[in-house]
Amino acid sequence: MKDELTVTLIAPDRKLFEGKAQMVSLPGERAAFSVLKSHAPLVSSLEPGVVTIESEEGKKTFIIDSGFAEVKNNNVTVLVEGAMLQDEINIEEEKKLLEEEIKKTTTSEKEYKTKEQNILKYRARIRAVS
Amino acid sequence: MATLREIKKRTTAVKNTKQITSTMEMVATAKSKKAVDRVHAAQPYAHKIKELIASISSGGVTIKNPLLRKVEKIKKVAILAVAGNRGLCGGFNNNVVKMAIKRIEHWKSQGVEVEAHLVGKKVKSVFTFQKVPYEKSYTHIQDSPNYENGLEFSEYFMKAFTEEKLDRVEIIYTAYKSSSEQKTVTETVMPIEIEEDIKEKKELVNTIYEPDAKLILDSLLPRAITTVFYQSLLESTASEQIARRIAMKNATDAASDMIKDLTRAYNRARQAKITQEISEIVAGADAIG
Repeated sequence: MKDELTVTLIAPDRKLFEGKAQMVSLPGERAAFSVLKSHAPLVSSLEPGVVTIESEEGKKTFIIDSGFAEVKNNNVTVLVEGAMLQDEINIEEEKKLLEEEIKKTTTSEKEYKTKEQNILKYRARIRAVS
Repeated sequence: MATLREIKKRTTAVKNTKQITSTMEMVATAKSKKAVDRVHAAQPYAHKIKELIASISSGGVTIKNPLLRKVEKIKKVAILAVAGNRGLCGGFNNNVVKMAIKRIEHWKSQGVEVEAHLVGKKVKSVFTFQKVPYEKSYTHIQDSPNYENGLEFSEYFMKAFTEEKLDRVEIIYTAYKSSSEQKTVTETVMPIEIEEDIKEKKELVNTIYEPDAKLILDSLLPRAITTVFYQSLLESTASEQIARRIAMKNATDAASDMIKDLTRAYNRARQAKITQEISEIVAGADAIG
């Protein structure tokens, strides 16, 4: 099987992945989806979760915070706020962070939203490794 | 004519200074490389976000967003002057201060209210010294600004802009163009200018937006603004390190020249002393004989 998609995964401060792949799985806001060759043009927002990039060299898994994906002419661009490689996650630390986040009290709607986002983020990370 | 001992003392002092400046030059060189790498690493993200916004807004979707509100008459402007916490970097800090003060006067002459925000201890101290009022100063940003620093600014300014407390937000910083070119520039962050991509218009009508174009744009715009702040902080630190490297290189070169001149003067003085001593001995011997 030939590599058919060009994938770039970028965070504000670094480029995490750039290369060819056969399939990319993304955590869409409405539902998770996968992209294969000749996918229709698409722009989707992503929620915290797991991005898998499958290529001839094997499977690469990234855990993202939230972001966007654009699919156009077999080019997949994934923009994320922050991302980690699966191996970079320390499960104990993430669990601790999650507990702390849950205990936090919020006073405004904005704080509540950040709390919600953070909980989603930590849960996604824990799920990815356990 | 200075005595031998005086010249020697000065030479040692200059040598010590040279050692310090050349070390600082090396440190700045190493730091500037890292800072430049960070600027380059942040570019693809910023670029792509702008591209996405352009393609969505040229897709024929009419979008209403408080961040895109049209400003009829400018009543209040915010200016964010970005420079460094430390000196010894040539005109780096001063250029930012000069441009900021000029800009503030420019707006004031048009009857527009201005609130100044200052990044860096140096800018802050000049403003305090010259008694130019400013709204807030930020001195906690270190050599390697992170995305959160960008967020801090964008959250505040976006809030003020959407609440119509501010009608325009400008950043004054030293842009990094290349390792040999850095320039102090004024950039308007808000209102956002969207470059429409007419060429791609047709193709984009068929694009699927998930959940929908408006929601995507709503969350893209704040991120785009944040990256502008983040980018300017990064570029400013890169330019600062480069400016410091150049300033320290000049200082080291000047010290080398000075040491050369001083050594020459020292040798000449030593020779003069010897000659004088000999002629004194000869004169003495003559007198006796």
